[in-house]
Amino acid sequence: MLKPSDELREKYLRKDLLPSMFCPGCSIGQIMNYTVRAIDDLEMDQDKLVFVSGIGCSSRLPAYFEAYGVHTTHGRAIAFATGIKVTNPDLQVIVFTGDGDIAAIGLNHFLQSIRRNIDITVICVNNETYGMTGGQVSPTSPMGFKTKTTPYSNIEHSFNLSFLAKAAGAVYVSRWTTAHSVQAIKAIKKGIKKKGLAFIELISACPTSDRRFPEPKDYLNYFLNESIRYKPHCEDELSSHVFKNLNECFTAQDEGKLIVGEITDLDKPDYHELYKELKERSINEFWKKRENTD
Amino acid sequence: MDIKIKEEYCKGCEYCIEVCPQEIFQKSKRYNEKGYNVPELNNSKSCTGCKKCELICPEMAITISKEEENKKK
Repeated sequence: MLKPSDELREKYLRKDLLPSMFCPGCSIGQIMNYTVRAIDDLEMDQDKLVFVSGIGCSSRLPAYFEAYGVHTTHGRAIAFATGIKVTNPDLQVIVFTGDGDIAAIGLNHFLQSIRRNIDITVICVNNETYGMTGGQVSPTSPMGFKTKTTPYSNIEHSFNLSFLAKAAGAVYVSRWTTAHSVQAIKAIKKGIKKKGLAFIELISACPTSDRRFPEPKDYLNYFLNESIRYKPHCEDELSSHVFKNLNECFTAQDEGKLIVGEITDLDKPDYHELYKELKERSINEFWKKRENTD
Repeated sequence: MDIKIKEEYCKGCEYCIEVCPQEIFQKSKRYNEKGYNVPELNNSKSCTGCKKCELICPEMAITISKEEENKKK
């Protein structure tokens, strides 16, 4: 059963900062709503919760939560989160990033943290544009997309961050749009509970900078009508965009649509677990050697 | 069902109008203190309590609760 908004707002959000600074219809507010509900469902201790963010509209989110928050440099949110989690593994670290943050300047940090399998949850607010600076083309902007810096349509191929994370070996990857509220809450909950790096990509609307549709509500309909569920096994050999080499096949009529769903869910030992093991083993071996030499 | 809209938080994005299956929310001519067009309620008795609007609201401004619960308090 869903809890009433005013109760949750009272408990988890900073009232003096509300209403938020986000534009009317901005999906970041919705992601705040979903995250609050996910945290509440898991009954997490707010004193052990750290929100980390980089630069961008989405990175303003930690300010609104009644928990620890770190607002870091551009693209380095995951690097800071790694440091926090490694030094104090009792903390629950949630990273909010935008697509400009994670796919452009911070892509290397993202891939390296997946490789290390640090136990953090990364929530990516993917609005397919640089919203804060006025709607320039970003690495996730689809091909043929008109932005401020590509007025005659974008000619670059776009990144699909979820498939990138899957290829790098993330333990949990889920991709939804902000119109899929219940699924997004479930994905965030699962991601927080998961040991290892969980990546949740939420395709969101930017009604101010990205003028694809005149009204915010048109984005909602676009997300619901144009999204298709991810099929891990599909026999038709045709791929759209970038996942040609990842054995991800989609049928022809699905080309150009938003692919949503749970993309991977596997189990792997996380960094902290292996580090603890290594520490014990190395100390034992060290003392053994010491004894032998004595 | 008891529908409460915290009007000072509303930004007039009209997501609630779009998402409600019973078409309870409606465009109004009223504005809040920040100048946003606030939705108004129409036939709120037909609310089934699906809470779609509560989930979709970016400002967490809509609260839906059962009327019985409020009476108990």
